[in-house]
Amino acid sequence: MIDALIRLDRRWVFLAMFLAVAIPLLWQPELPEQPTPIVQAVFDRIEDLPPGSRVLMALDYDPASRPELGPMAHALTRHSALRGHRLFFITLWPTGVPMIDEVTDILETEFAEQYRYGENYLNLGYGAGQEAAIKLICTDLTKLFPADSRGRPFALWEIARGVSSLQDMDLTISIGAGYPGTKEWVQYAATPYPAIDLVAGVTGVSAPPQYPYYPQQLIGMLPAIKGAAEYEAALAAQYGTAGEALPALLEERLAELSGPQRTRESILDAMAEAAGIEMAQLQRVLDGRINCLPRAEIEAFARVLEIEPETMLNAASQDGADYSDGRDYPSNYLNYAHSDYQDALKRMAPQLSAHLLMLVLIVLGNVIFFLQRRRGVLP
Amino acid sequence: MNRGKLTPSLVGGLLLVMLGSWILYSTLVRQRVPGAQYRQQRGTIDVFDAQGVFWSEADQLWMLAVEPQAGVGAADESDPRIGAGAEAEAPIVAVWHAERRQWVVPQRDPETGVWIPSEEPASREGPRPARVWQLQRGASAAQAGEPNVQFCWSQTIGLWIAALLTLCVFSFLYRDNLFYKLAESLVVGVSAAYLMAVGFWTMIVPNLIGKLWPGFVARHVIPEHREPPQAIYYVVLILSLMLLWRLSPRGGWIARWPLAFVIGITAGFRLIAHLEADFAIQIQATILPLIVRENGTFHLGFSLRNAAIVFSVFACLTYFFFSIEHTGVVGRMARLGIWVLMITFGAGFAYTVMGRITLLTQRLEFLLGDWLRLIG
Repeated sequence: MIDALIRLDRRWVFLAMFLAVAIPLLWQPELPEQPTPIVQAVFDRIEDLPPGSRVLMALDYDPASRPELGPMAHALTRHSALRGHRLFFITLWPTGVPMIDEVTDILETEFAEQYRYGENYLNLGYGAGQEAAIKLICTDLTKLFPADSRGRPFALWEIARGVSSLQDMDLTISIGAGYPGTKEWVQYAATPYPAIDLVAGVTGVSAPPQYPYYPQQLIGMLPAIKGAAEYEAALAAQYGTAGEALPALLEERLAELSGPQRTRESILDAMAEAAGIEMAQLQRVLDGRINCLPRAEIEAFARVLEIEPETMLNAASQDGADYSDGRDYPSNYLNYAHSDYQDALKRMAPQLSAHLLMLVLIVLGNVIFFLQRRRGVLP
Repeated sequence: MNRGKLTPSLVGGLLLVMLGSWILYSTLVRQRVPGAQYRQQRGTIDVFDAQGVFWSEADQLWMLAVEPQAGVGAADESDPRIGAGAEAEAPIVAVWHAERRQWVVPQRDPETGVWIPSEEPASREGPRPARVWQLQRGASAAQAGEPNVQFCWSQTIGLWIAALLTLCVFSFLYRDNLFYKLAESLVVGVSAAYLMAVGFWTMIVPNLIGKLWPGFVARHVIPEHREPPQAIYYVVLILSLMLLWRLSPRGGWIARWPLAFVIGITAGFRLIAHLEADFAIQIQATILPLIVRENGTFHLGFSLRNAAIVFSVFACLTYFFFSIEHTGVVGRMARLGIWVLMITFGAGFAYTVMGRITLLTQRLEFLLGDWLRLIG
């Protein structure tokens, strides 16, 4: 047995690792996450800022670090947008430009009604110069970014009013994969300028050296994919709901009304038409991704499905919607407890199984080492 | 030859057969091409390139000015309209009504103050759109069959190339091979070209050429680029050219001067930052109370944490203090310092493993989800 393990082809280990990651991906179990204080500090900071605050996000990473840092950038952008903050995006990495596009795409789709380019968010693009660039924008933003990524002078945008340097931002978020990254933001921005409040999201490789900066130079930090998962859990707890009662009621009525005379598809078409929404939007409601709907849409569904609007409003209320005192919701209100918005949380189950495999391999390696030493094969 | 024995080659072959079978089954039986991408038609945008017509970001409208707009064909350093606010001062005679596709009289929205199109046709006939852009957005596979949702060949081919390149890179786990080398070379080549292109267009053009010859940049590259020429940037240009002299077979020493400038600036720059952020403040952060009291109550957890931090720092510093022989108390302290360092390296290694597994997870998510559609 031991001899077989010593001679084991390393490609079996690769295969075992492939299965350890692939099986939980296919199975998709949900693992609970609880924000640790260092992650909660980031969440609380964004949550406590008054709506309309200026937040600068430096996305200093490339596609190679996107699996770790992408979920952080998405969750932080969603949270900032839910709080109504004004967002400025920059990158100190030339390959970070598409990462900004990916994040602004969230604002253009999920927050299309609230967020308008130049008013609520601005893409300043790539700034060369590494740490010199950071030092420069601490005193004059327009020297590095005379124009936004579209080439229009910075000062002409509405969002730029009253902004001359990094010190005018209410919060700076550094999401960094290496050099230049969070370390440089701490050294050249947060430390010499105490007025600059800095939070960070970092890769696993660069997380341990950044810990000493917390809490004096960094308000909080999202370390690696675990930090991103904890942040998504905090976001779901604050802005997500179970979202089961309304989809269940809709499916129940669809099943009751469907038959040879009236197909499910025709009823869905009628619902979408009555509510004035696209089929994809209706599908999101049925999937539980949206459960706080405009009152008018709920009433339209109720008409088509021939039930009392109050019954449907009650079901939506069970999912977390609050229609008391005439309150209503925009048509793009999303349920952030849905797995579509939890990329990091979905990646924690493969982490668990892969780490268990690693532990088994480490133990096996040590057993083999000591047995060989006992046999006198090793010194 | 391992006849009848389970080998990594056999398992790898079986996995490839399973992959091929699934692709064939999905395409022929389920009639769903793996990795099929869709796009949704969301309207059209008229695009003008005639002089005097410009796009207003603030109003989200094409506007027709009496004269060519500053920066659109007529800008130079002597143009009095160059500068902030020039756009607002431009005499607007008509705006483009996107739905009616004609020039109409502009009017101000009383609430927001922005220009909006009226229903009254403009007295002056403006130029027609040079081209019409299709406004599209990516659609999910679940939306296939819906009105305005079309199969997108270019994105599907792109996704297949991404999937096959991923498999090429994974093939290195079996052994070094041609497919891996091909993928590796592509990554290096594409990255280098991308860095050069982005660096040139987003930095050298606006921040060097744009500072020296703003009129040229406004005419040919960035229509809205407006700022006066700054002669100090000739120094930057000369230093840059001197740096490039390294490529010349003669006079390579010329590159040492700008290099010396860069090294001197960087060293001075970093010294201060390191001393402040990583030395002075870190010392301050280590001066902690060993007995923590909150509202008059002793807090055991915080006290132990502070004691651990202070003790660990002392132990590590002792290990790196070589002026005294590491024997006796100093030796034991230094040995504890090694343990603290080992724990730190262990935490660093664990974080690194977490990062690497995340990369693998995301690639498998891409292969199993976006490409093969095995996960939702």
